Amino acid sequence: MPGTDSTMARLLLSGEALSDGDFRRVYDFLNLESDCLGLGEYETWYGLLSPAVTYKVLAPAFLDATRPRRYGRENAYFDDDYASLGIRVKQLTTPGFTIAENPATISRHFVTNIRGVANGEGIEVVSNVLVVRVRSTEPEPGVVSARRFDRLVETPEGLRIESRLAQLDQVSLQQLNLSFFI
Amino acid sequence: MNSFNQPLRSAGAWVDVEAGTASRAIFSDEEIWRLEQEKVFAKSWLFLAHETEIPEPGDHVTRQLGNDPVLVVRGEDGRIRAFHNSCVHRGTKLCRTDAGNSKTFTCPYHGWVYGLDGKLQATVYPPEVAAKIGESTSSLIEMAQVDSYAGLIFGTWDETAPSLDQYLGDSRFYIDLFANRTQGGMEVLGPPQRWVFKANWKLGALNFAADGPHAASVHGPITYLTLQVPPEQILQQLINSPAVVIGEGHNCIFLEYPGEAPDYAGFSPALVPLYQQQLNQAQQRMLARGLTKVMTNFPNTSWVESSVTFDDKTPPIPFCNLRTWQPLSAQSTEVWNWLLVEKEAAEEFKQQSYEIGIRTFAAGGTFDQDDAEAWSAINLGCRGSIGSRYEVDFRATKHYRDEPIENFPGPGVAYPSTFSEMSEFALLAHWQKVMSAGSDC
Ligand code: FES
Ligand SMILES: [Fe+2]
Repeated sequence: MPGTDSTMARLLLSGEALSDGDFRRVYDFLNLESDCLGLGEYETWYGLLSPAVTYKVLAPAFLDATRPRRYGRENAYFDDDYASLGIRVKQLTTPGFTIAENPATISRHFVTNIRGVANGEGIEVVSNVLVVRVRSTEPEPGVVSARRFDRLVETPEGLRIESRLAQLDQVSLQQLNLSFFI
Repeated sequence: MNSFNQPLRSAGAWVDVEAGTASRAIFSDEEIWRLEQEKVFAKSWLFLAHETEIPEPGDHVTRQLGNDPVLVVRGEDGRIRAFHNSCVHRGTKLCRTDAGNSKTFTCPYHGWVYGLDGKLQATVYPPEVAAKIGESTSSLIEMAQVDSYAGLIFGTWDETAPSLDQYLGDSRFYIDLFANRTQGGMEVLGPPQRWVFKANWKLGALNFAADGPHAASVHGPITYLTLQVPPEQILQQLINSPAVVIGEGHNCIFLEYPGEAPDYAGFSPALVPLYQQQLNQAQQRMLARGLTKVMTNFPNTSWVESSVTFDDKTPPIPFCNLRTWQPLSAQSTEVWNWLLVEKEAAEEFKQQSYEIGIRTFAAGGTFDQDDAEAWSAINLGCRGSIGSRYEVDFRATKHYRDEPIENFPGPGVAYPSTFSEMSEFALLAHWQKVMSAGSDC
């Protein structure tokens, strides 16, 4: 998404840097989340979302550096809310509801380059993620990588994801589907 | 065709219409794939872009037709042209962006400059050299014919191909139901999504021609999750809904609303009067009763429309999906996937339709995710040296082929059930005819 990176850069420069303790909490939270996704613990993952969550995954484009032309809406792979993510979670977790995930894809989420800034309402976090997928029908590992912008909010139960925007890195996705979360 | 190319094998009798079978080799054999490039893709009208992707002079988008890059440009004169997106000097891919606006195209290698009409305008070569290389007469390789129907831009490499109107023929009646149902027509909701699956392009084209039975087994659960329609009801609807052999390789199925649903149940009430103005009586009747319609225009342009909701507070919202299946190799296909919406629709409706579209039929779509899995599995089952000796089965057609529906409102020959597999198999029968054209077999 154009501008997201520069907005984040401004925030990181101007916002209050995370204390070591907060950074550790964010780090642990994102690791817990990536374990849930990698292990297929989607219901636990769903519990890490705020009911007000917005979840977007965008496709990039190759555009001319001096004369970029975009048209229509941003090209989203996911543009979801709590209810629609709930249906996706049901589809992925109910045996017999999706042949794409039975047998389940073997996958691993690697989250790196984590930075964050507190801004009163929560913690803005930027990270990179690499997903490696091995499927029963495509034994060659597939990779999907993205830059993620998250807003985490404090709740009595701990941090929760209130918004996620993942900017994928492949213009033509070298994957047969996106039957997972990023 | 030059002498460096491998000689192409002539067509075999891969599809046995009488028996209702087809060779599994057609889904994996590289030689058949190469022959297809000549017989099917170099001769058919292929979908390129929607007019709303390039509304202004100088607007362009780049596309892939198989492994050939194509540049689709709106000229200063407003005319749309399509070129092989390669410089005539050394063949360098000329425009390397997905979309843009410019007055010229400059080759990245030696800087030859082309106009929007494809003509070579300038080189940096000294005048006497420039004259030799035809600076004033050279131009990009242009598609032989480019034309639009209902805002849909198609092109063909074959100058002897019939007109686009003739090519689409009776399928225009059905295209109108997807994309020509209001006076203003449709617009794209954004650039196309692209993704690659490891299976033959025909599996996608056939599935959308369309495969009714799989919708019960593969999509039954997600249909239940989203629309609360019990699997048994979906199955009955699929059994009782028509499959239409439109002709010339174009085919579709119509899933109808159960009797008690009101007309235009899944559509935006604000748009219905516009449909009634634009469509003829027969088309209105089909649109009003259609819950899901799925079609493939030969060879590789497909459509699906349905109404879905992902939330128990919102009624089902329709999405209109258009896609092509680009044959990258015998066993890999790139999907190009657009979502369309009526230009006249309210902004809020457009956004809702967009969200439903990407949650159902798109790379992250809850329906697409399972289709691609099935096609990959077909590829694994058919590509081996033993597997490819055998056939795929369309013998359900034998039960239905002499029993078309009388008085079906649309053109073509309709059969009473999507379980007839008639429309799906008709695509393959047409493919065989096209593949055999000009050979003795
Ligand atoms: S290859 Fe294009 S200018 Fe030489
Ligand atoms: Fe399907």
